[in-house]
Amino acid sequence: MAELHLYDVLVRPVVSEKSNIQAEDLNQYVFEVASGANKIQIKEAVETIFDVSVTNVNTMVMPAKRGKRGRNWYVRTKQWKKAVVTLADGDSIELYNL
Amino acid sequence: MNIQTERLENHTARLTVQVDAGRFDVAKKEAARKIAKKINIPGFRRGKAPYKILANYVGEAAIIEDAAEIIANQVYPTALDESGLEPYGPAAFEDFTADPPTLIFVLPLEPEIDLGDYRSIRLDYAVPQVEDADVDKVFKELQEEHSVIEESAKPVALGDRLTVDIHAVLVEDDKDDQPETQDATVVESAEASEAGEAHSDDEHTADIDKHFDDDATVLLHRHDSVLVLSDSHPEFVPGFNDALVGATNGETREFVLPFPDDAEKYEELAGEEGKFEVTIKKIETMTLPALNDDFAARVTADEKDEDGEAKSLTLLELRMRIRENLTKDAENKAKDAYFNQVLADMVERATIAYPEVMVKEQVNSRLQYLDQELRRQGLTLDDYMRIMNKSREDLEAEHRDTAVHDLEQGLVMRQVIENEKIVVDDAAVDDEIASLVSQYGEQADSMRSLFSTPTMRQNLRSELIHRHAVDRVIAIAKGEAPELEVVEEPESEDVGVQAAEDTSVQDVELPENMGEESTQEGDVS
Repeated sequence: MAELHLYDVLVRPVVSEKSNIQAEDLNQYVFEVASGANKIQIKEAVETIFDVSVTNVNTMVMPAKRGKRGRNWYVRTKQWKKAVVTLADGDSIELYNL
Repeated sequence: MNIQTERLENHTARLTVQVDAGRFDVAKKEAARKIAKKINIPGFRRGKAPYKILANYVGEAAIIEDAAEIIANQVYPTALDESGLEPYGPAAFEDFTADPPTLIFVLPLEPEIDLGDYRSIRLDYAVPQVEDADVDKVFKELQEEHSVIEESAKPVALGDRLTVDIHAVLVEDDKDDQPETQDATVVESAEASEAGEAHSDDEHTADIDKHFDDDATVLLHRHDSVLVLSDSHPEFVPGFNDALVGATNGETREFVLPFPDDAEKYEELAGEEGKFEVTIKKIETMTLPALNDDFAARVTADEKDEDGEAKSLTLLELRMRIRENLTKDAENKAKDAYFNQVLADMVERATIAYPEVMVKEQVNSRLQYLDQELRRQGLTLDDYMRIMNKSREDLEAEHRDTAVHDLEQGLVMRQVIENEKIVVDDAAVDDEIASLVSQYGEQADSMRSLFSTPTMRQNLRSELIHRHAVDRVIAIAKGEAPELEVVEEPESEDVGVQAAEDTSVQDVELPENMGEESTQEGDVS
């Protein structure tokens, strides 16, 4: 497997009510990341791209889900990796310009 | 809050209001909250998205637009108060600039009417005279109505009733007149049907088919038309009746008669010649009843006196009655015409300024009225427009002139009512209701409750006011109007009246140099 490039680590910012609260109150920013990325890679990516210093990275794998629409129609979501990045005090990311 | 006003053309004003930035921010937040409730942003429950995310999602412009509206509603009443403008209707929100937050309204202003020295209008009022001949004519008609009709085999004589086929064409000596005479056809057939109505009976208006001579302009084409050869019925052309005298039943007469040079009556046909072809189908003599009390009794058989008992009139009474009615009719007509003339004059003298909105309203109400009329005939305005192949804009343009005319007259009347302080009190309305109700006899009580509703009362009141105003306008032009009470208002009219009062109470005519006098007075004081 080819090495994961720095700019391929972060897939998208997660914009939701919860992530919003985290950003406002805890200075934590939520991203979907490449499923093969580890915490170190995520830390490096965020620090380089947004020019901030990262104090902590939590990752989790969000499970795939299957919902039903109608009798035999399934809505599937894929499994993805989420990273919650805590920034040092005073740093912030203008997420929504991404 | 910084308010600027600016007068525009068309009697509208522009109101520019500058709002504090803080206040505008509050409005923006409010607008955002409202928008957030309506739209779904993924990741957020409805109404929970923060301002920034919402602004990103729907765009800042949308929020500003809504915010402008919100703040306009808040600011408009106070801005209006402070600007001192008197709007006629709702203002249009014209523009908004965000930096600095500035609102621009355009509002139609209350119409302004300066009647000028309307009180000095003098027009001659021609008192209509009822001649004996007019009364005689009515008698003749009554006689004919009650005459004995017998078919006769004798040749046609004046006073007979005929059933005829008429075909008339225009004699064309000049081909260049063609387009003009085309118009004339329409005119004449309209006129002819009027003349025909006088004979009424069982005539049916015939279709115009040009069955011989295709080039000729058909003036008249009728089958089984009933004619009465007498003075009380109008002839198509002078000499028409005479030309038929002596004809026998079944005979066809052809003759050419010139239309007199009376442009008013015959319009484009004046001076032209018409070729008539008349076939006599039936001759009836009319034996007129003798003018005596018996005749009068017969005519007025349905007449009732105050007690409700049958009571017919004598010939003399009938004559007086007819004269009375004719006089009343003529007076009403003359009064109407006179009033219209005076009003037109007043409109001419007055300086009227009103916003375009009022004209539009007037046009719309006219079209609405037209729509109602059409609906009575089972059509709608849309159908009408389709049939006439016109768009609504066309119709509006068509009605515009009359609408402006009506509007100006209405405004002048309103101002006259105001200036002359014409008021109608409740007692007068009560009287009017009483007199209206009395016409209904047994249903009087139910009618009374109908008339006594507030809206009906209001309608009656405005009608009475209008009636008074009409009387007053007529009185002014006749120079019989009572003096106005002088009110403590520095309005030019009032000053004028004051000046006039100083010179003489009887002489209502305002002196020519009234304006100067009043300024002199101003200088002294």
